[in-house]
Amino acid sequence: MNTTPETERRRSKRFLCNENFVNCRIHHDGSLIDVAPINFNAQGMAIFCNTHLAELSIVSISFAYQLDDNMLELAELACNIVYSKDSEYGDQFGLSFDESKLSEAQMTMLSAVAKHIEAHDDPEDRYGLNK
Amino acid sequence: MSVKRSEIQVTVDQLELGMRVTRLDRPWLETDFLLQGFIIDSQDDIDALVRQCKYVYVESQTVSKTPDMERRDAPAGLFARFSKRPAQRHSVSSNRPAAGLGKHRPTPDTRIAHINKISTERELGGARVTYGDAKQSVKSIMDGLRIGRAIDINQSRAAVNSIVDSVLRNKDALIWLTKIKSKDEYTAEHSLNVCVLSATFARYLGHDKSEIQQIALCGLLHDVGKSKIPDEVLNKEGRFSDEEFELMKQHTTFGRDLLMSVKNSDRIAIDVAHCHHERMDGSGYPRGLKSHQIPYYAKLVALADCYDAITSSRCYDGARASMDALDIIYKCKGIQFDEELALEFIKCIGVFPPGAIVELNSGHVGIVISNKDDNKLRPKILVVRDKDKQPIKERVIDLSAPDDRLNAFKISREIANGTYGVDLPSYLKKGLVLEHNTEGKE
Repeated sequence: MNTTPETERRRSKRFLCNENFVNCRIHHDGSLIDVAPINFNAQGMAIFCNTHLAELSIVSISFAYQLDDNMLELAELACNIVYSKDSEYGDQFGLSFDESKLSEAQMTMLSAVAKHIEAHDDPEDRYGLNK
Repeated sequence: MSVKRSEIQVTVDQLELGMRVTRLDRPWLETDFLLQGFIIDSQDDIDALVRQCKYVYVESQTVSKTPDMERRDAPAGLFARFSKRPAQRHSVSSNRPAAGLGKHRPTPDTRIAHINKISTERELGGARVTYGDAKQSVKSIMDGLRIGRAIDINQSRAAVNSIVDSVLRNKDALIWLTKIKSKDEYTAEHSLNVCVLSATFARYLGHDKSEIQQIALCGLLHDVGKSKIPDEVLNKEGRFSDEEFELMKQHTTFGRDLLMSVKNSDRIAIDVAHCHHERMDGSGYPRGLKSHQIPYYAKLVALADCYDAITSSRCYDGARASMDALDIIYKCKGIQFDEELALEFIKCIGVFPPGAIVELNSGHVGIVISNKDDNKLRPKILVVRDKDKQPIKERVIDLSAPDDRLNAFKISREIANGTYGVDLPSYLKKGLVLEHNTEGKE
């Protein structure tokens, strides 16, 4: 069961990342690593990498988001690692955006992405299985 | 070897740690105990029994040698027994794929609609015994492998059969028990949980009993190769280095070799142990098989394996919520996991599975007891905290019941075990009296 307190530390609900997320990558030690965006809110996101990664300490993340007719580019957002979990299936990380290092424009874009996802989220059908 | 169970009456001054209390000298409802039957694991338990009872009944086990075991002593007998085993149904069936790699999920025509034969509440007591016994079997198998003993496939089958019987009686009771994790017993518990989850998923998909038993056996034995991984790597308190991870990956090949060396081993179990880390996009290991080359049962067990790995604590990291695991499975469908099976698995487990601790929109906190396949967002819940998060007299509410008072309630989120003092293992240990005080009962 979820024995770690991270779930409780989340300030708001995380929404399942939709297909509008593209080119999600983390920057670590000068290299770029492709990751899958898992869930998201304006404060942070969970990512998953299906290859084994070494210990990560400080990372930044980049992704683009298709918001209606606009492609929002969020580059090298400074993050803190809230939790990490490795398994034989891949490595999972919880990231919180480091607001002290984000520009106002980046914060605005994160809020816009969060609002867009929330507006398209169906709390009764998170995975769209009842459609 | 057969284990015969009976119960014996003992006075409360004879009680000792480790005894399994099956009955009291008075009805359970007249006592403080929540569970109807439990294992004494602290002096507090003994003190509570002394306060409330004069005598109780505890389980007694008698171990005896069975004709099966006698046959095992005679090699010719064992060989004869299995060589005469009838051919498997699928290998002779005209309208179903052949055995082995060709196994497929049931079609709408062949799918069996399993129904719960008894309630979760009634199954839970027996399921605890089944789970405990099966865990001992798995530990004994894994410990034996470490010292070079061969896998006792009959012991594995016996454990699997009792698990499958429970899953067929009720789909939720054993899932409940998989939610209680112990870091110290990760490998044995994980194998057993994958067995339970695989059996539950197979039941959901509509497999017949013999197929469910075969799938559950594959789940139980999928990680036997880990017995060949050095303890210092297996139990490392930290992330694996690249070299260690490469070594860990070899458990698939070790598992295949171990199972192939066992007489009468199940061919599909060998395939699953070898192939459960293969991926749909061909990037898996050990062979980088393509989607169509991966055995169906390996695709099925991989989902149960991944789900339990993410929701369990290993030596140094914490477990993640069920929804985190389902999110990852959903996002990796078609790449890592078979897309169709991944979606079915998510439906099978549901967003709020049995054993999940949830907060309602009213502020009340409860534990999910069971849910319906067609309405997983409105399960049956044991409410344990009031809207101010204070302990209350436990009561069961069925959110799917056609009751206006209950329709207003919705689950707002899943919360971590231990939050607001709600500790899942202690509820289970104390025993849940769930048949009473049920609102909206069907």
